[in-house]
Amino acid sequence: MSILEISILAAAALVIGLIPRPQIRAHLLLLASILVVYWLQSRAVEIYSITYWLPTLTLILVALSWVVTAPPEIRSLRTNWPAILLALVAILAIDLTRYFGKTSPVFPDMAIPNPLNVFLVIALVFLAVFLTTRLAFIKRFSLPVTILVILAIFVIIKLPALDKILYKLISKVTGNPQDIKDTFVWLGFSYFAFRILHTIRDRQKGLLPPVTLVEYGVYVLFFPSFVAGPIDRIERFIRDLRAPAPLTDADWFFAGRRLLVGLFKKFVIADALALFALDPKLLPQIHSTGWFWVLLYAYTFQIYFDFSGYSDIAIGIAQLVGIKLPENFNAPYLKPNLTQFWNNWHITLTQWFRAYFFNPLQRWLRSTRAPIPTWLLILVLQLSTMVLIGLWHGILLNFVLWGAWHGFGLFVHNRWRDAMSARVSAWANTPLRANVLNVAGILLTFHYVAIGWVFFVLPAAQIPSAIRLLIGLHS
Amino acid sequence: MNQIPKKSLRILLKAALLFVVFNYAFSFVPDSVLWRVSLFNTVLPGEPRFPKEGNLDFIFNMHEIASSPQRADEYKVVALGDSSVWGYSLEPNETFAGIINASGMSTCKGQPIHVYNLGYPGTSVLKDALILQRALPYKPDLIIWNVTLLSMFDSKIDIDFSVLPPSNPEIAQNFIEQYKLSTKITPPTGSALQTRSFLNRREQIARFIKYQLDGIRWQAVGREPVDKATPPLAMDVAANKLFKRGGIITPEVLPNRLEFNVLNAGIRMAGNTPIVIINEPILVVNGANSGIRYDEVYPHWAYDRYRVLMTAKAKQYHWDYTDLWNIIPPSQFTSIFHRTVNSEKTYTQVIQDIIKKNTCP
Repeated sequence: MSILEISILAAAALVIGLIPRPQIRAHLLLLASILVVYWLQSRAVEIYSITYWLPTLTLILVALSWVVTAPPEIRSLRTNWPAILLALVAILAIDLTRYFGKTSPVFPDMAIPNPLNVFLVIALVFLAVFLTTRLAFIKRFSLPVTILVILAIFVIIKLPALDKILYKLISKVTGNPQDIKDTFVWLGFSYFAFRILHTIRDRQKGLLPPVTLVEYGVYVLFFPSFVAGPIDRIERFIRDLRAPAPLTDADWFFAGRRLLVGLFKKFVIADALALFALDPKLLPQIHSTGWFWVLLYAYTFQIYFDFSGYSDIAIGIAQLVGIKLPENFNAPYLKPNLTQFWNNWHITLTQWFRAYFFNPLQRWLRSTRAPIPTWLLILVLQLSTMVLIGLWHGILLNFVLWGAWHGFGLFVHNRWRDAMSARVSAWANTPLRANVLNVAGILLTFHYVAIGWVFFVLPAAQIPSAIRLLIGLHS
Repeated sequence: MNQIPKKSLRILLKAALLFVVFNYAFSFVPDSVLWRVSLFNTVLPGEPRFPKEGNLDFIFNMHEIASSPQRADEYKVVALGDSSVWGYSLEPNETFAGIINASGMSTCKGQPIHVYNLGYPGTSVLKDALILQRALPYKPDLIIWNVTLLSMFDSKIDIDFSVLPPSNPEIAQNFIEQYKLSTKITPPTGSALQTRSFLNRREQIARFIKYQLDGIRWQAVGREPVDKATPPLAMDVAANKLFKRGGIITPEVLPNRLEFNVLNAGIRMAGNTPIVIINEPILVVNGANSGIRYDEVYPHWAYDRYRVLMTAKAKQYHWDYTDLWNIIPPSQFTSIFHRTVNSEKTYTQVIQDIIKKNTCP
């Protein structure tokens, strides 16, 4: 996103934040979020009508997920008609901008399909909702099927080979010339899919609070955090949404400060570092180990400032509408070990994986008849969780290696802590020694993470030569 | 309901006022200070060519000549001229300056020779003079000044053939007044307070910072390759004798429009430092209408008259003048002024001979 786009979002949040009634505010937030989903998608990719259909599909997924997770008493038309009407009007109004063509004041870059097709799809969605809520056998499988559908989409868009096939297929069906691009980007999918999965799993466990369509829609599509998180929890989010506290001076300062700090981190520091940060194009031309490390450090800080900058911006904008999004980063590069690093890096994502993968897997492994040795249990848990987090970024070998690197590191740290913590504590019995230990831990952890970025940023084929450069064995 | 608290509004107002003060206070920061804080010539080596920026302090602080005082033992040659000297579509090491520096050339006394490429895109002898003025404190041993008819043509025209003089109006005006020249430059619009404010200079500052960061990348991985322009060029030219430069120039007007006085001022400014004036090679086409035009820009009458006048002035003022206008065959040009890598080697040999003549008398 550009500074202008972020400024527009902040201005929208400022205006919506001034609306006194929470219900009206929530509906305006939904409308704004829907428009932002289309708007950002139109800037992310321009592939015939897919640019329109992907955000529309996002809305359909959100609506269907709400239908399968909301208890019947909350699904009444009487409660939810404003949200339904708002979404339909937004979808159709955006579709009608097709008649402006390239002069469209709203979405000039988006190729938009015929309204008849849109009507047909909407009718099919209503039919699906009707069947899901009326037929018992569909109701029974609706939650796991929704999970499977989301995971399947995830695999398709994160696996380049499948993504290409799907792109060609869609291009063929829509008559799209196939030489524009060969993959497409479904903006925000990685994040809204996690929010949806969280609500479904909580519904299965009976933990999900009843929420209306507008609340669910705002939670999943909330425009400040739609593209890059943080991934909030719905029960916390709707508390703010239902009863936003009037903003105090401190809140305004907080919002303004986070917004400015975020803009500075992203557009000054991260974008500056990007000019010489390690990337696949630069790697073949790096001629010395020293310069490789300079570029690697640049990338290490670039990714932090870029990502945490976006999180700051999201938190700042959300504060303007009275939503306190959770923190996503807490000085992760200043942590003395890898476990603490992961407790402070992309916090909401790691919490998500802990809640919906690590903990359930641990419970399951511990419940098996044959007892698993502790070290093996830790190894399996850490490796599988981190590899999965790697795959979340893309189903590619380098992300698997990155995940494995961190999983192994977490395992080693866990074992080290168990075996050595008493002795280390005994040694670090003076402030000086404790400080030395702390600084050594920070440096070691930082460099372990930095080396890990090599696997993250470079394709698998380049990793051997990168490692040779890293350790000074290049020719 | 959320209301923007008065305290927040007051802070916003104060911040806005502070910014306005900062914005205009910034105009008092002189260029010599602003552009000095550079990674180039400190942690990074200086650049072998000027960046395409307008401010003289900006470009000099990035250039390798800024660190030349640390190499006191070398014989410094300064090369002035337009984009053909700068090396349009050539890598820095493919320009004649780059080739000579790589050759390890030295004087008869064994002093290593280093050619500083101070060429700057754009044809203006005033622009070259301003660069020379800024380069003289680095004490060059020899100055090679490449000129052509277009660069010798006066600046009293609507089109700026080089951004440098109008981008440095005070320096240019001082030079003009010091040497009592009739040249006029386009004065900047707006007051100094406005033009030099932070907001007005923010893009230049951003580009300056970007160059520093690019410099780190260049050190790590080398420069991005230059886009190569390739011959052959069309050898047929229009069947007319028109010479245009801010309007149609007639034979009667031409002699009065050439800025020999600016060139002479530059030579006087250099004092005892030897200067070699070179009439740089141009494309001489051999196709249709080549009997009346040398190329799309120069008709025979105008260019021939210019050469006669240059020779006469050189004799009158005792300039060390070399006319190399036709030493490069037409197949070796990538545009009417710009040369191929191969022809640059030919040109380099001639320049090396000139340097030898000056260093080994």
